[in-house]
Amino acid sequence: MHAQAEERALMKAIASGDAKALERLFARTETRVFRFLTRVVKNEAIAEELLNEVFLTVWKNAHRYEGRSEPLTWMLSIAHNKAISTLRKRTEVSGLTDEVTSGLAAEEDTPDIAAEKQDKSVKIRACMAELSAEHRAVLDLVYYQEQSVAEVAEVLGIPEATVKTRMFYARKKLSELLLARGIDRGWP
Amino acid sequence: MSDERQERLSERDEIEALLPWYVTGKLDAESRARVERYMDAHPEAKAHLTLAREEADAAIVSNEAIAAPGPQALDRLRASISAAPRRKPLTAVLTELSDRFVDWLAELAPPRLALAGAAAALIVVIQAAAIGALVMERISTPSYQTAAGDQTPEEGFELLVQFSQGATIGEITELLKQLDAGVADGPKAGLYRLRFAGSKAGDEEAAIMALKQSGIVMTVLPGR
Repeated sequence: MHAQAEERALMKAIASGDAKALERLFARTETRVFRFLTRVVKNEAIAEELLNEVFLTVWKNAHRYEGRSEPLTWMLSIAHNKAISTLRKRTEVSGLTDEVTSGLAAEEDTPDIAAEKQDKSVKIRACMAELSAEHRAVLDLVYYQEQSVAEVAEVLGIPEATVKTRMFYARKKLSELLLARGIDRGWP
Repeated sequence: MSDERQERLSERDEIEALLPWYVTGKLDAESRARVERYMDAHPEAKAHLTLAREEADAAIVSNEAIAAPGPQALDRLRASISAAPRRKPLTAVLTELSDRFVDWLAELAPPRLALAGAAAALIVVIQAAAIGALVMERISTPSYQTAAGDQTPEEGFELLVQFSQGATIGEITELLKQLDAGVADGPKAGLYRLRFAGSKAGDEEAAIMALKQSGIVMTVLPGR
């Protein structure tokens, strides 16, 4: 059976109360969902908390899954909502924005990592890490999670046209950050 | 976000926005053809595909550098769902009831009669079941489905627990597993409500003793 068809079948079983089906779905998708969460909140301990909450939500609400999107897209949508909600609470408590905290993380680089950053691909990764959570999320959803325009729109809860505009500005910002590190991509 | 106001992107910028989906093969046929027409008319833009591929490589490497969650993640999920009451949705109950009724009729009569009878009687059954289910929801003791099967709140017992500051999630999960307990609620005022659904009321003393001796629990109080 095709992987996505298997995941749809698992969702149906979970909706009928099959806890083993939830465990199978967890085994298949936990890494992708965990990585998405970690990239958005930039903290593995918080991402683990949220991972548990995401699958608990799947367990409780599987009967509401209507099959209009793939199960992974549905789960990433739940994950995104929880991650953004957590980031907002963290900002309210600490007063630090995502941009500020990402700057702090960059200062913790060891000399070895700093030397490695001479490499272009490493610089691209470093600049991606400095993007805002929303810009980083749209890039990850497309390049790593392999979601289509319509699927990204569902995960982020925004229109497809806004997804494309956000992607444009995420890439533009990435080019600006790279230019500041001496890499001119010739665009925009 | 401020940069997403209803600003129209130029043709070139729109193509740039689509390139990530183009390189991952996730563009619909119409948009794909549009990108290719643009590339044919502007060969210099093909170099920008390299930029998108570099971004894709960087995103993949960054994601794969994050280790997968450990086995404790599944243990924790098991503990959470065992403590998370979940009612079977009303629609599922009604579907099950109506399916059983149709099967029952089919066994009693020839196929045509069974179908006609089922069609006429189904509405009555669904209405009766819906009313019955709603009434039961209001007046009966709530029962719910867990990973271990249907249970009622009367089984087992509950304790309020405060874990010590240094207790890790792994240690707590392991302790709950050993005691066959789950987190039913909390933390409220630093206290978690633990449910020992599979235990008898007489096991309460032993559970309190085990929690106190675990080294990761500061306070244990009766749950109700």
